[in-house]
Amino acid sequence: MSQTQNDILKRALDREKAARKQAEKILEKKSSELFQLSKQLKETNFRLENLVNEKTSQLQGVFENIIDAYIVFDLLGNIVKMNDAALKLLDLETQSDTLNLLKIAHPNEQDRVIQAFKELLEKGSVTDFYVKIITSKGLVKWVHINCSLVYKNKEPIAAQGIARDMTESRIQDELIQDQKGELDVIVNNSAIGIVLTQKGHLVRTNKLFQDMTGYTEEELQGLTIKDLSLAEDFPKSKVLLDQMIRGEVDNFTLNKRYKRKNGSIIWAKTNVNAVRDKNNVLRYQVALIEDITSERETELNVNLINNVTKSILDKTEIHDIALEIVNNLGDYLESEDCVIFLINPDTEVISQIATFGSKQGSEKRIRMAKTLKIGQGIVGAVVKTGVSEIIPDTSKDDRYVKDKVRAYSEITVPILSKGKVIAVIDSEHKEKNYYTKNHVKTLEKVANLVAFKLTTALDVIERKKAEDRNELLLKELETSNNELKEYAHVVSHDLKSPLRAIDALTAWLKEDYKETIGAGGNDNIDLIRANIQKMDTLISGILEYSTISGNKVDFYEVDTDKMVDDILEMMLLPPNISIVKESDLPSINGDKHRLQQLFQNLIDNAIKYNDKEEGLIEIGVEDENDFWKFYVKDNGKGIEKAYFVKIFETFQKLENNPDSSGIGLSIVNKIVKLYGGKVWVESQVSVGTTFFFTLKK
Amino acid sequence: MKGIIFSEFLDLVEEKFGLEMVDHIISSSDLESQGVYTAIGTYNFSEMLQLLQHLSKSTEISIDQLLLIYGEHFFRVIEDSYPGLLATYKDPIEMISSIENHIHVEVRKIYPDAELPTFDVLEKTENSVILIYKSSRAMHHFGLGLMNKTFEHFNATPTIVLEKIKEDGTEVRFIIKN
Repeated sequence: MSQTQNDILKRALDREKAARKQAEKILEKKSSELFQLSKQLKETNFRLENLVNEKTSQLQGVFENIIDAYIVFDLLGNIVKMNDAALKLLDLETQSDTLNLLKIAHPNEQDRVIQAFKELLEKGSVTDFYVKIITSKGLVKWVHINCSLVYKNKEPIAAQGIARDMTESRIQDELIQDQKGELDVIVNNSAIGIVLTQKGHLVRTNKLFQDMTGYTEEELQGLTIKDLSLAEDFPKSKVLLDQMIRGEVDNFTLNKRYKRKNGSIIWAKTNVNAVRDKNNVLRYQVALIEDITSERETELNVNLINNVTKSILDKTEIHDIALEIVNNLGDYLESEDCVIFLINPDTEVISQIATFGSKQGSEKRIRMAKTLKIGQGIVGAVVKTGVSEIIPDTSKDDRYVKDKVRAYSEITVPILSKGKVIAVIDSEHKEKNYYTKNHVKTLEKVANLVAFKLTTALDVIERKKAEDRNELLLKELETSNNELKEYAHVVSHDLKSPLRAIDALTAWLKEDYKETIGAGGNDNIDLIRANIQKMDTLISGILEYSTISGNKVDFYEVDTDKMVDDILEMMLLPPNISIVKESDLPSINGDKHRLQQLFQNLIDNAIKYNDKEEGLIEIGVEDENDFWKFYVKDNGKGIEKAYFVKIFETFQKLENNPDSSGIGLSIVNKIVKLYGGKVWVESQVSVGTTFFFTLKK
Repeated sequence: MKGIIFSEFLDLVEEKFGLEMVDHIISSSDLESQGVYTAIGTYNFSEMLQLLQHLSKSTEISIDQLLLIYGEHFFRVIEDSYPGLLATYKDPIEMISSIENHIHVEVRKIYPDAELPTFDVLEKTENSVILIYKSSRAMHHFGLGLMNKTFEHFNATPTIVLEKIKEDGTEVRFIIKN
């Protein structure tokens, strides 16, 4: 072996040694690491073992101390093992070897138990199984069972179950049901509507609320507060509800309207209370609802009657009165349309005289408003019958006369005076079934209340018309009187001058041709002149008569005693007549000239128609309370009774005497009447006549 | 790189070329380990490269050829040391396909810090498989040698085509048909 080979081998050997040492070193290190690991492993194992033991004993404890009954049974249902709770549940003293689950089950439950056992074997577990059992003491108990299979090497070997006695809780449940039933009785017999809502939806309602609204409980459950509220009222309750949701308030009360199933409205006082959970979040709202429709109605009625009475008190004009009535009624009825129609009995036309909401200056509008004939439309029908009407749905009433838009409800109430319809109150509303019997009652009350006032206003109108008419007549009369007077004056003057000419001419004729015309001619001329004389007297009488008129000349005190003396003095008395004043005559308020005419005419007549040799005329007076009763008595020819009235008429005379105009007594009559007195005559033919007349003191 | 690769390599060199060659390539290389290798140790891969380069120079055999032979030699180590591993396979395609998912998993149990190449299965039928080899070491021919011996072990004569995806041999496609 060469040196080179030796060196190679030596180096190879050195490498091998070094490799071995290196390997040993690595192994030592690994061995030490292994030792540490195994040590740790031992400690861990020890701890695990302890844990397992602990858990096992805990489980044992759990098994024994578990409150619920725990039973282990084989796959045939035979009980293998059970805890104390299970013994107690089954009323057993000690563990029995031969107890099978099927024997424990109530006879009625056998099928269900078998079914459940099958399910256990197929699915490996049964949960929430409720079953009735009979204990060894014969007690029936309700138990709740959860059970599962126990496996060994993936093969089921037994089953375990936990049973809980639910008998107590069943009893509790029944008790709660009973109490709930009692509560329901209270709620359902409450005199106040009770509603439980959640987020605006009705969850529960009581009987009274169902009756109040006319819905069934099921129907109400599908509804919201909004569905039941009137659109006008909802915003108000929404504000309060939102405050409640935000937790700002816990309860509130408001008066609002509810829509009933039939569409009518009720007013209710609503008290809403919040029911919150422990986080203060609103869960429910309980509303107590009290129907205040009739109370409200009464209050409104009283207010309405007061308001109407007050507001028409100082009104006299019929349009003003009607306007106050419709404005008050419109507010009360909460309708935009309320009208009063007035009936004109002459034309049989019914016309609007006031509409709700119109102002004083709306005469024009009223004038343009519709008019109806009696019998036309619902208003016209009510005028005819005098009986109030409610139309719940105008679309089903042929009589309805549409104005601009159809209103579905209408109420029409007559205003009667002495049994006759003088006016009609009429209101319309856009919704059906709006007006109630209470509305009719109230409107009828108002109609009664205002009937008198309206009648008075109508009378005022009538009187005004009559006054206007009289004034006109009076004016016409005055004019024609004046015309007449003037005419009489003109005629008499114009007639008198040719008469005077004829008189003068006939006088000359007689003087100049007395001889020529002979006795016959003279007689005729005398006759002509007598007639001319007669005509002159007539014309003078007319003149005189026409100057006595209603115009009151200045009145002053006239001493009639002195006045009669003056008259007698001025007169040329025939020698056979004597005149006697029986008593002193009084002073009279009047016009001397007239009074003189009065007395002179009567005395003239007494003289003129006296046929006795010794004529006697007596003048006197008697006191008759407010009046003086004068008389002029004669013992002349007398007058037949048939002429007692006729003699006072113009141009009536009993004899054809050219000196008599037939106007004297009519002038007497006219003057006495002018002074507010009376004139009459008492007479006996050929014995004498007495003229009486009275004059105001 | 695991020491067993070095020690088995040097044993093969000694068997084929004599102890002088072993001594020569060790003394020619600049080795941190001084050429002392134990199977359970871990050494720098650059040492293997130096040993291979010097052997290739001295023997005038290409490095790939040397690695192929070494691979074929290394199969014997597996045969001797882990007969149970081979026994679980009845089919070479099956065995080669499961390098990544089974064999390397077993290797890591013994050498937890081993730096192994990856063999991703691209396509596989009953008697063919396409694998992508990836390793910074570019020792694809070592793998090829192992594969040859594997088929031989199962008495099969497949065609194995080796295509370089990257020129430096760090990524290579094996197309194997039985």
